[in-house]
Amino acid sequence: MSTYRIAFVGNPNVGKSAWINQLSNAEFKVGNWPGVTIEKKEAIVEWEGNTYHLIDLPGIYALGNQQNEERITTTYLQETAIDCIVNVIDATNLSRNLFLTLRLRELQIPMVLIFNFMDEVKKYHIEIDVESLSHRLQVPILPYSAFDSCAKDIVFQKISSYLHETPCYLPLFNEEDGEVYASMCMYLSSHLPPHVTLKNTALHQYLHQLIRQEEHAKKQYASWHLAEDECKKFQTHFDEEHMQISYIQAVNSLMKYVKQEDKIRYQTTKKIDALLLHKVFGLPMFMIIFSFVLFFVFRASAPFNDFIDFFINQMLAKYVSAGISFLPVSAQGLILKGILAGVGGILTFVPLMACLYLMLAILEESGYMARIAFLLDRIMRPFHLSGKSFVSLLLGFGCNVPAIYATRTLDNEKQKKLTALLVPFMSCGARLPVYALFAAAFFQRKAAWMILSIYGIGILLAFLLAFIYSKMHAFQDHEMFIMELPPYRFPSFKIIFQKVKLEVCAYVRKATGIVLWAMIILWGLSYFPNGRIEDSYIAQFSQQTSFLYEPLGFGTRWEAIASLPGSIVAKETVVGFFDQILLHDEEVEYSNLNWKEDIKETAYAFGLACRDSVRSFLPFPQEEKEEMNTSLVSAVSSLWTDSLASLRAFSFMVYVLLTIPCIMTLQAIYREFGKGLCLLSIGTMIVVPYVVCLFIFQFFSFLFTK
Amino acid sequence: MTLNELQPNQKATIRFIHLNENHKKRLFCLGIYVGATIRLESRAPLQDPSIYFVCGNQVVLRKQEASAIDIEVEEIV
Repeated sequence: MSTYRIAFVGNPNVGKSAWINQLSNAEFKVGNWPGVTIEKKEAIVEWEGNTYHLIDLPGIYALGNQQNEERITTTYLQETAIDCIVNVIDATNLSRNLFLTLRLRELQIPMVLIFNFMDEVKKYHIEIDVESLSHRLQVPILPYSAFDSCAKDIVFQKISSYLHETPCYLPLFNEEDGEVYASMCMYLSSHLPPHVTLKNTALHQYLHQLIRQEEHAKKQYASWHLAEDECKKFQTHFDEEHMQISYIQAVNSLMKYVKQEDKIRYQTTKKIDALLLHKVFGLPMFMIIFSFVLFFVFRASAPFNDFIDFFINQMLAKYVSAGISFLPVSAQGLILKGILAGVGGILTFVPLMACLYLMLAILEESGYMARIAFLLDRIMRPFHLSGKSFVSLLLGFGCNVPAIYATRTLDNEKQKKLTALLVPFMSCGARLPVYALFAAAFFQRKAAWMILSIYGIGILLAFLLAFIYSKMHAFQDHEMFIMELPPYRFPSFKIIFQKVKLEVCAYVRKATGIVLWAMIILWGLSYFPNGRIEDSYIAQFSQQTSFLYEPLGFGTRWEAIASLPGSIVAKETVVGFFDQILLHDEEVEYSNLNWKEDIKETAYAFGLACRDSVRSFLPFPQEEKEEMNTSLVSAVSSLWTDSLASLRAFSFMVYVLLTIPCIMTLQAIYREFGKGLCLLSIGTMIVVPYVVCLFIFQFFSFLFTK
Repeated sequence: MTLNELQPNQKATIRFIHLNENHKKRLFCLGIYVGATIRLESRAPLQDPSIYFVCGNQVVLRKQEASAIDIEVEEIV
């Protein structure tokens, strides 16, 4: 039994990740947005007794060290012992993809080509002479789509049979270049010092290093005491411009084996783009699509949120409390009020997260995400940002953490930093539960509008800050913007499902990990020293600091302030906290433990949720639906009862929007950009919410009292 | 004539690229090099950037870079 390392390399957006998914059943992040795989990822597979490490490398157009992705992939390929390269190729776009293949051949690592999207090749009437191509390139070619069910075995068979060969890939030069290359080859092999042996593969590898003028190759050459001018002559013949031409010639000669009408590939795409990128309707269409996304996320998920709340807080709590009645009161409190209620509060929002990630995944997979970057590039430019940063910000609506990581796809450091600073202002999914709770408690029928306005405030402030920061030299840049627009592809259900699953699992893990500890600590702080929440540590502390927040409106209730420390761990804890602290005196009686009845009731509630979710899309008038977790909503609505109550609640919502993002986001910023930017981000998140809430409350309370 | 002066659906051959080596390399990777054929597909609603069809692909470029690329118009479709 042996272990092999297989590197998957290819242009962005050719389906590398989908292939590894298929081969390993692992769940990698894949997307129809160039540059989704930003970190190298690995999957381990057992096949016929051997272990294969499949490495998913970032998509690149060329080897080099200019771009972040290029650097990661190139360094990995050069410095790691790799048994086989799998070069995944978009077979509908060979002329572009083959450039990279030529470069990869020069590394002289055993290579297998996968011609992906063969179904589309048939659809577009592209004819590829796979055999001749394979012969000319000296590499096996596997023409399959990632979703062919038989693909897995064939690919593994091919790879495993190819592993022990040491192929020697000859460059595809024209006659003249070939002669120069061959004579250098001859010169080297006949003049090398006796103790040096450069076998075929190594020799070609070395010659290409010479062509690329790599430092260590030059040094090596000098150490062999060979004629300097031979090397000079060789290098000047194959200078950079000459190599570009030779690659073009080589690809052109390979394209003889392909019959393709270029226009067909984008035929359908152009029809769709005629509307979606239309001069007049393009931007309105974007707004419609984006509104639909938000609408779907909020409306369709609501009934399921209610169902999970019902299931955990009524059904599960009943059985748990019966099971632990022998424990001391404080331990019971910890389990019921600390753990179950806390985690329950977080899990309630799983359907909402799932809907959000579903929509984002569809946008990414279909190819519309790249179009958004195209449409909005002009708007972002005054802030020294590109359309790509808008997509990053858009992801921030799902979760700030992946959005921060997505800034890696941007072209340069300054844009990345600025975008990362703005991401926390995009209201992530975890903040939504807080708005939903407060909007339901204070704005009832206008709740949806209030939530939308919170999102709007976040976006507005992000632009304002971008404007301010872009005046600073550190964030100005004049880099080139270049981007590929992939053809529209119908999103694969399998990949979308996997993506949603991955994100939801990450959310749940977060909830049961960090957030759970936060909930337990918060419960402890609100329970000790004597079990009465009014005298607890957190109450004492919040009461003492509440004067700071009084000018912002919500400082009159210490509970609101007490919920904020926990929100730094993760925003969704705010809801769990109110659940704990406001409903503490409500002793629920769990009497009849009739599990048959309960299962029936749960199933009925689930059915109801499904019906309501579907119904929220239908045009006919709907019955007023039951509000979420009514007891909590009514408890929260009694937080403030004066004439400015709703303004105070709104100010609190805005504060939650703008304050320090969760610890995970801070950690992401720290990891990507270091301490300096992280501190700048924290500083921004402390000053901005205070100033903005101060303004909102003072200004509107002045208006109202007038 | 430069690339940004191209009209929609006009085809042209690239003659010279007035950009630094790093930028040229990046353009090369997407099929934009001296001698390549390029066609303007459409412009964004806000006039900039534009979509070009080159090397079997749609590629987005801003005016700024397009104006640094000299072209020779081939034909009008």
